[in-house]
Amino acid sequence: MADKPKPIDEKRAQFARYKENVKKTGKPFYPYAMFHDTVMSLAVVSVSGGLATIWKWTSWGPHHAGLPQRLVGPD
Amino acid sequence: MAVRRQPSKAELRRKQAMAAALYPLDWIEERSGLVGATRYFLFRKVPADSGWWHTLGSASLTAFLVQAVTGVILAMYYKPSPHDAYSSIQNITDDLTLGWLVRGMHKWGASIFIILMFLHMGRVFLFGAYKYPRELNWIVGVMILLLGMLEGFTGYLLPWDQTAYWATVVGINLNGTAPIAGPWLAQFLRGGQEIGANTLTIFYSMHMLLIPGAIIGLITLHLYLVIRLGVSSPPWSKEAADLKRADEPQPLRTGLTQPVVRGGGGPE
Repeated sequence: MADKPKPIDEKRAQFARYKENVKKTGKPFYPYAMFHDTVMSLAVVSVSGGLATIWKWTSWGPHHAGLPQRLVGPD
Repeated sequence: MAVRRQPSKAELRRKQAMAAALYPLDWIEERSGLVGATRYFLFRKVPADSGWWHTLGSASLTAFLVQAVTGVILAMYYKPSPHDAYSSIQNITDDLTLGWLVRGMHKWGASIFIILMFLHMGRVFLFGAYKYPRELNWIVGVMILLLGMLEGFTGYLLPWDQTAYWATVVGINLNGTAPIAGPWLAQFLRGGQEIGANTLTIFYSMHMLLIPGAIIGLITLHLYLVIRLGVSSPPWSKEAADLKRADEPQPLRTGLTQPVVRGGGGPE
């Protein structure tokens, strides 16, 4: 009688099938996935720069008789 | 008999120029194998249905790189002493060319980094990408998240203003309430009994050297594991569905809780 397969054996076989599937039907990282990553990275840098700009140029300042609070946060 | 045409002078020149251009790459490849590794990284296969959800990891990496670059620039002008810290921050923000931009990007980039890591973690959890054989990568990712938050905590003190000071008092006191190691940890972070010059230099050292170094090491390991194990497919993908054994009965769900097994008359 054959031994009952262990759960880890099934997981290993499933992962091997996944690797085989990706090898057969997957697409190369460059240029497809890399394009998405580049767009997202540019968005991250733009949002950082945008928030920094808003923070700098929306300062109410103490001369407005209010707290020196900026639109998106304190100093 | 076919006569082999002699290459023209222009063709010879082009060949020589190509060989000269490729020489540095060949030199590096022969000694390090880096060109081959880069080629493998760029042209490795990823699941055909990976999309925008899979960009959260690289977006987190970009946010970290923004922090690293802006942090290095800030470190050139920041003075980590209670007497000079606040004025050096004011100098960076108000006097240096584009200093406000560098400081602003560092300040807001810190929040973006943490938010993106949480979103990335959520994506990995919901896609089940933490399961075998990616458990170790999940653990490494959690460590990066914890170190990222510690980086935020240590960086918060550096402007040395009232907000920074009192937030650090609260943070250190919270740590101090932990059993056994708490009081020792609070003492270590303060660098004495009071928050002062020692605290600032300890926090600066951790923020600049210790934690970023650890994060860089863990990110390298994280990326290595991503490349080694591959990118997981979304749960709705055909590729993920095909992973079941061909002989395994596929349940057809007719309702929320009623699976019907194909070709079966019920449990045996």
